[in-house]
Amino acid sequence: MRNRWGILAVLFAVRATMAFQFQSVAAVAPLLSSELGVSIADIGVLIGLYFAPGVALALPGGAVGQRFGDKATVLGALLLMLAGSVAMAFAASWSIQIAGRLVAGVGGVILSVQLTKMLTDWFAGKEIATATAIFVNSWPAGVAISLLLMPLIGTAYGVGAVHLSVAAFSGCAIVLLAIAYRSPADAAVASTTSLRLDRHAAGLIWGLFNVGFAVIFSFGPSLLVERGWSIAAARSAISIVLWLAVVSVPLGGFVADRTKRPELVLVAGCILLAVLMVALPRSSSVVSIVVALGLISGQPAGPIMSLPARVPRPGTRAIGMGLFFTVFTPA
Amino acid sequence: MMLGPVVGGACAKWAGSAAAAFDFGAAMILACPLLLGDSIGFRLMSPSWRECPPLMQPPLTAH
Repeated sequence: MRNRWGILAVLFAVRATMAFQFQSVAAVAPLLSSELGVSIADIGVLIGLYFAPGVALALPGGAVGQRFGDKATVLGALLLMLAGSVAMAFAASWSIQIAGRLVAGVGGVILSVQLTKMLTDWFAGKEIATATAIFVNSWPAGVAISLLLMPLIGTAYGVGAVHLSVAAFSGCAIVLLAIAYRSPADAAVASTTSLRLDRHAAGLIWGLFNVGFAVIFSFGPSLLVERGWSIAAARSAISIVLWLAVVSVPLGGFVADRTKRPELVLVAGCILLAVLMVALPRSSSVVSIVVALGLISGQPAGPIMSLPARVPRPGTRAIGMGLFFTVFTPA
Repeated sequence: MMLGPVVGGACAKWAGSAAAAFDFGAAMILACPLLLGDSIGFRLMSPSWRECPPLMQPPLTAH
């Protein structure tokens, strides 16, 4: 495939597999709890373990990508994800469940680092903010598919079938990547804008932005319940942010590319978002502010994710992406 | 995504309201442009950047 938008579609689908796998445990938590006889706290640990390898392995993962090449590294990462799911499907003990989750998480970390680097190779200096903004949306897409399918599969066939279906998705991603992806003839060089930034700062900015964004979903329903809303109404109201963000994230990337001022979109978007977050607990116009949060919150995502692309030499990108994710993950 | 919700929850618990978590989140979001500005400012103040930005360097060989 030579068309970069086609490549974006391939990378989007492969990354969605990772989100699908991450969410699969949470989606069938009650089933998992009853089948394995573990507490909800244990399930929480199992969910969180997926990201645990990221702190230590994002940087080496980038180095592995540089050593063995993009495609081979991603195929290896997908194999790890597949192996982790298969181990979890047939594991009778809790310790093997944990080991399987960790193996899958290692694959997920390497996949995440390498796919972002591959996207940059194709889009740096072109529509990088738009492409990364669309690429970022592969995470909620994978989560949504998982939430839709996994409870149905789990209820009908058991938890083992849930993990096997995750493995099947990983297998499909392997085939798709092997057939449809190829590296660009010449990896695109850095953006020609004046802004350059080191990867530590870029990773930290992405981490801080995600912390702020996660607060909306983590504490928004509680905030509204404190103000007398029912739990169902509070959850529905806060979910508006997520639905609108699906549109506003790519829109922010598009605006950044069209205006060629990604830093302006980033700064203005963050300031407006912070103002809205401070206003929500103190205003009676809850629905209006929630809608505004949805429309604004996605704007900075594309420009922020395109920051690590601003490095002139494609040869250093794999390591740089590893550094970016090493800083981002703990936040 | 590991520390953020933990700290946000601690803020809410300490203040007795989820509003405190929102204030914490807003502070984190506001830190993004500050960090960006700081990083750009640092680079612009760097002598090597001021004298010869990498993207504007001439080729090493003038053939």
